[in-house]
Amino acid sequence: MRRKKLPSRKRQALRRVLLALVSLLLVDHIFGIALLPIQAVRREAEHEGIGRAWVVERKWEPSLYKTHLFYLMENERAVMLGDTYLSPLGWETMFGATVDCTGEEPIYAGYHQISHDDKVLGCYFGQINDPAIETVVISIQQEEYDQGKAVRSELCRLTVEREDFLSRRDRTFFWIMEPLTLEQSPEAVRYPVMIAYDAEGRIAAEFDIEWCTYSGYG
Amino acid sequence: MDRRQYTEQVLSSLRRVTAKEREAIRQELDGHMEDHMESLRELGYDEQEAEARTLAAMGDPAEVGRELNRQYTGWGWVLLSRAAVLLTVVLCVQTLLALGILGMVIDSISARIYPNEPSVYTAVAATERLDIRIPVGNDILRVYRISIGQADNAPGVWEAEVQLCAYDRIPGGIVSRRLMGQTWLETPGGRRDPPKGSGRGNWRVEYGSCYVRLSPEDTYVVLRFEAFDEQIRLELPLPEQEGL
Repeated sequence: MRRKKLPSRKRQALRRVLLALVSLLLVDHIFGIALLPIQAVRREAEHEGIGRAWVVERKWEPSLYKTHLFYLMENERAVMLGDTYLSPLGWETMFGATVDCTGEEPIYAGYHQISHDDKVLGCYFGQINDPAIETVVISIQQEEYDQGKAVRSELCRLTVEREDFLSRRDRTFFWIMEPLTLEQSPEAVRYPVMIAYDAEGRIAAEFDIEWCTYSGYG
Repeated sequence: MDRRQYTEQVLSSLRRVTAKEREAIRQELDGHMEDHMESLRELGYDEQEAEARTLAAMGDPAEVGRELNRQYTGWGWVLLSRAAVLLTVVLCVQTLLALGILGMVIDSISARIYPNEPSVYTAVAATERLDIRIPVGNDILRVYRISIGQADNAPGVWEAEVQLCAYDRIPGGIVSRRLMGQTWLETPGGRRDPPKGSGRGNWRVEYGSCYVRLSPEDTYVVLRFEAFDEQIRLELPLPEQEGL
């Protein structure tokens, strides 16, 4: 009678590790299930079309879910804000907000608004290319029409100084996440406006942030 | 001492084995003794004599136990083995939960082989199947059909429709959701119409169409793409149809 050879612990462990790795590869590639938060955010970056991206910073706050994580990602072409949370299907993402940074502008900025239980969270992020920029101000303005003429007024200002700028691979970024509890006229349209200042307080760049995306959580 | 008692005595001296290993050793010892006895029976020994000689040949059970104890060391391999099993089980459960995703994979495969979404026109005046694959970043933009139809069913107003799909260069990879939105169609004169918003997609494949109204002198249309410093310009001859 030919009997099965008793496997050693090492051989059995290696066999099982191999099986686990093959399963992992299959699950990762075919089913797209992310076992790590960074895998999920990198997938979101691929889905946003920016390709391979790297982490500038991640934050656990604000806590919309217990495992909710926010990531600021970057590469040569773009900067992206993304999120991820743990579900039975692994780490999943809700949104990706991307700003194309391939031009020669002194600063690029994007805005993502998160609505959650009647609260609104404003996420402002971008890449700073001009080294003279010392202060980044997000001026949240509302626009109303008075006798057919558009009139803008400032609701609040969010400021980031140089010491709070983020750096990665010789590039500089900013990232603000602030709850927005603003008294706004119901007919008014809200605009986030980027104003960047140099050390002397001169305006280095000023524009309406046009890269706007929205997501809502129950 | 019989075979069963011998085996129990060997097993009782094992200290660092798992229940599964203990059972495997029991089967190994039983099998080994059975083989030995079988050989002796074939040589003419009776059952009792064969068992006695086999046990004698096996040696002191305490010594066999000590020898096995020396072989079964290293809990690291056991822990690694159990962690691997746990990971495989978790992955299998996740796979069962995510079986619906296979639909996306099938969709992605069909886009690579033969993409075939219906045209927006109820009556197509002229159509031509194409197979142009353009690399864009990590993805492939595939132009698979060009058609001419009546714009918004308005008689005499002709429009070109170019049908596209996009997928990752690596089969099963993730495609950019923005590719279709950054692609548009122009006439040779530079006319560009607002997008109609048709198309569908998922993480693995995007389908879409571009449209532009035609002038009688147009013989081709230009497919354009612009994003992240990448620009594409592709001239597509219009399909020929008499009386158009």
